[in-house]
Amino acid sequence: MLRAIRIACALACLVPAVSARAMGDKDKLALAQIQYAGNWNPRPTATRRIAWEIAKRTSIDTQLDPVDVRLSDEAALKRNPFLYLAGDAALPTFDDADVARLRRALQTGGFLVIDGADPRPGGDFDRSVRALVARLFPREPLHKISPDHVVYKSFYLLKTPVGRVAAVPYLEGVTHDGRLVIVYSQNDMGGAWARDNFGQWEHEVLPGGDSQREMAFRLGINLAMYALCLDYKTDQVHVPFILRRRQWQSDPRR
Amino acid sequence: MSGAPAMTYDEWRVVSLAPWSLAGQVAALLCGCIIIFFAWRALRHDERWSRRWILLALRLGAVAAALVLFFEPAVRLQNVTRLPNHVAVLVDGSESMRLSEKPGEPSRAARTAAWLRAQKDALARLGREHVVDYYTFGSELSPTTLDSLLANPPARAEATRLREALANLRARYEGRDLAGVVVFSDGVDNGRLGGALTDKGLDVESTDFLRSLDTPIHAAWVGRPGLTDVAIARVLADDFAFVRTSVTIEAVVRVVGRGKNWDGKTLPVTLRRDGVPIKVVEVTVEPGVTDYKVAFQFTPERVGKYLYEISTPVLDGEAIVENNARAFLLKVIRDKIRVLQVTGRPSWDVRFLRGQLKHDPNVDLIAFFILRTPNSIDMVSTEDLSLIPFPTEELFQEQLRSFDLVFLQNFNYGPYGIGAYLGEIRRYVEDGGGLAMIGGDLSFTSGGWAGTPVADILPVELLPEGPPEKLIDPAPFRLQLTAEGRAHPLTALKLDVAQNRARWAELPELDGVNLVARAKPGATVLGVHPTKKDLDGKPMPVLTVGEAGKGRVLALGSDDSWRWGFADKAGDERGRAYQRFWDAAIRWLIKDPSLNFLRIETDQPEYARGQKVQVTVRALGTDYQPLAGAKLDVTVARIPTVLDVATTARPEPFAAQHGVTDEDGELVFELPPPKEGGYRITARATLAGRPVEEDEVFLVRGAGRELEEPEARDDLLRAVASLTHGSFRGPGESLDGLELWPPRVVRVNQHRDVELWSRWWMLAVAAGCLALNWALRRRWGYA
Repeated sequence: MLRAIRIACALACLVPAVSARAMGDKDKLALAQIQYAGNWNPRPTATRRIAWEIAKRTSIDTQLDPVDVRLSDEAALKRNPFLYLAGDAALPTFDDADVARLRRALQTGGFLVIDGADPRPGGDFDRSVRALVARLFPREPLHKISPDHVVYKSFYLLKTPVGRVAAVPYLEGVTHDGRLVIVYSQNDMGGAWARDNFGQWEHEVLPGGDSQREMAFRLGINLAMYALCLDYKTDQVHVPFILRRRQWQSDPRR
Repeated sequence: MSGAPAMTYDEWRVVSLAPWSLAGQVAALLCGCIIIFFAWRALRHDERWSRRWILLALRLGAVAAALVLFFEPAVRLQNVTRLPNHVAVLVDGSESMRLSEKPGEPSRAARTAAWLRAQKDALARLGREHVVDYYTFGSELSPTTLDSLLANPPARAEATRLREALANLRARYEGRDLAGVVVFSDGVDNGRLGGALTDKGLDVESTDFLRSLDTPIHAAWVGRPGLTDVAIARVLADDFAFVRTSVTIEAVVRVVGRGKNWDGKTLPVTLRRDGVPIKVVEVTVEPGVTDYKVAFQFTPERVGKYLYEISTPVLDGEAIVENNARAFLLKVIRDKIRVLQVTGRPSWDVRFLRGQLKHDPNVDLIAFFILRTPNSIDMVSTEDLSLIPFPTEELFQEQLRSFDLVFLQNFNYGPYGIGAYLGEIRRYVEDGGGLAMIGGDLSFTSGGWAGTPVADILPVELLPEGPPEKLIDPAPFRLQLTAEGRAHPLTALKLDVAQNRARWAELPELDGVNLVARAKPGATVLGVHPTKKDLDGKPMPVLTVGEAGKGRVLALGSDDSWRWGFADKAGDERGRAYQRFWDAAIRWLIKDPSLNFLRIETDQPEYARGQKVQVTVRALGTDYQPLAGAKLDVTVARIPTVLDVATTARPEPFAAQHGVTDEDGELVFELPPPKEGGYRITARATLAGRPVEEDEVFLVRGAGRELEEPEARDDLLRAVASLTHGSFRGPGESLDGLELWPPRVVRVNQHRDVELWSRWWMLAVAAGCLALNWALRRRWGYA
């Protein structure tokens, strides 16, 4: 299995860049990373890598070049509904106007993935994320995302979220108006995605190694698919298929 | 010398001539009583009872004489004439009276006329002592004459309501003397009395009513056994049904009597819609069984009002043909709008449209997104994926017509084997379905749609295949509304035209446009590119709508409308433009009646025979305000039923009306009473340069309840006669000997009063009593 994955990845490198046929770059899915005063980009190659995997494995058109946004730039927020916030230390305290802009963007359809490169529950990054989320949605607190949530089956069937590490066996999120607007991972997904220009993975994935890295990619793809399809995979027509496959997964002998 | 003949007096009675009011009379009596009381009180202790009673008697006599003088009694002698009272003869004039139990025999109405003719002498004898009044009754009571009954026996009333007729009759004779009633009927009553009759007779309420009439009712039954008939006796159907939701309509087939070879015969009972059979249920006639319940279960596929009919063939020997079919109206309405969203790839445009559709409680959404293409590379077992096969045959062949609206959103059909179903998609739209093609790099010509059956129904002409730069312009632009777009309901973000224009001007730009050749003739271009031109040099259509057969199509050459929701300006209105636009688009595509420019109403959905039909056609302008001066052509055609001789599918023209709407935007006219059956009103006009058509259906009922249970019955008439001390007469029996009340009303011709109070002896009694009383009191030592 792992060998197959490696071969596939090698072959994938030989495949020409995926066809950029969208109406323009602005129509492609861009994972816009939020800039802030601090180490806002602990995994500089992560977003490009995950965008590439999304485009390769799914029908989604992605923008490979990194897109950075500031919360003070409302126009940029309006152009990029998918936002990615990463860090390995405490986030700064964003001013109220920035928080309001971010809130508006999420309420009108945006989606924010928070990825902690410092996987210490209760650490500085974790505390600052919780404080930020509380300011964004005081009435809709961060909650554990159920393993049955569609984000775990929006493309791949996943059981637990992992990243560079598997420190926290769940995702947390904020649900607003019936959909997840924020997903928070403390397992450093970016750390698993990051790959240098020579094709070397930048960080070791523990404890599961390559298979865990693959799961981290799958989680990233699922998040992108959820952002664009929402609860599509909970439509009744999908349920029997998913149930059957989940059954097979729990009892591979069938 | 001869003088006036002496007056003879028939009757006498005692009267008072005094002018005193009641109060005065009561006061006088009271005074008298007080005087007697005091007299008694004064005398009560006297031990000599003879003296006591003599004095008291004398006092009493004096008081009595005084009262006589006060009241001035007299004997009134009268010469009177007793007025004859009335006998009401009620003849049943309902539809069931025109039946005959066997074909070729005289009808019940004819037999009634013959009976009356035979009893003319008896009626004449009645007329010597009473005034005989004639009426017909059915759903109403109407005066008539004997000659009219004999010449033209009535038999057209839609119902038989004997109780209502009797109540009406009693009210007519209020203050007049009614000797009795004679009712000629076949006993088929579908009013309150018929409903109140059970095996044990009439209920208490009906009994009380009949007794309160205070007149004997004699029943003359004109029925006869032996009726053979098959009828659709009852239909149980709601007034409305939901589209694509199973409906069950029940009917009762009643088989009365038995014709030759009826037992064991299989009767097909057919349900038709607008004259076209849609279901058949078979019923086998069994010996001794009268009622057969049948049920039709079907699923209406389209919204609208339809004429349905349940019928069974006419068997040999049937007495009545008309009740073998029963028509009714069914309005099919939409419960939820069933929408199919098919997308070529996930995108923000897809996500926002899905969010809009899922949030709408009126929408039942079925969505299929292509999450992975044949180009996608993933060395993963399918068991690790949540992907499912794309059910192309099920969607585009089997289930396609179950949808009200289909979105093809940036979807290229080629890789998925849907090419074989494109003709079906076209037929689906032409038969009334809605289609929206939304742009992107996998849409329009870029999606391979040029030259396909779907391209034939699009409101825009597609460019031929070519390099991507010829088919898509990626530059951002702001959609500009055309003149039609400024007034069209689909683009009405605001009701006020100026505000709407301003709102559109401030919406975010769109990134990229699918280029097309031109808008097709008859299409309506609502929004254009500000700078790009089509092949004719006109502004490039971006948002275009059109009609294809009975369906509607929308073409939006952009996959960026989601920005109107996400990137809209801040404020209360943020995001609402996107919601309003797609909400209006969906309603327009499914032909929501509230968006129709022409609306037709009749003053009733169903009519009785003989009723005029009032039709109102309303025309609305593009701003949905009443449109005055619109020229309308309205035709009314009969929808053929199974009993019609003509069986062509084309409806027969019944009436036509051409006119112009008034200042209220209405054209109102009246149709003369149509024959029974279903009718379709079609109104046509050219509004805002486009032909518009609308139709409505109404029903004129036939005999209805009268023919549901046509068998004559005597039980009700017997019960009525018995409760009112009347008699029951069978067919042809004599009407002599009917027990009737004697006349109670008297007319006084002359009278003479003989005064009693002014007689000399009355005065003598009064004076004598007083004098004797006074004398004895003195003698016996009373004060």
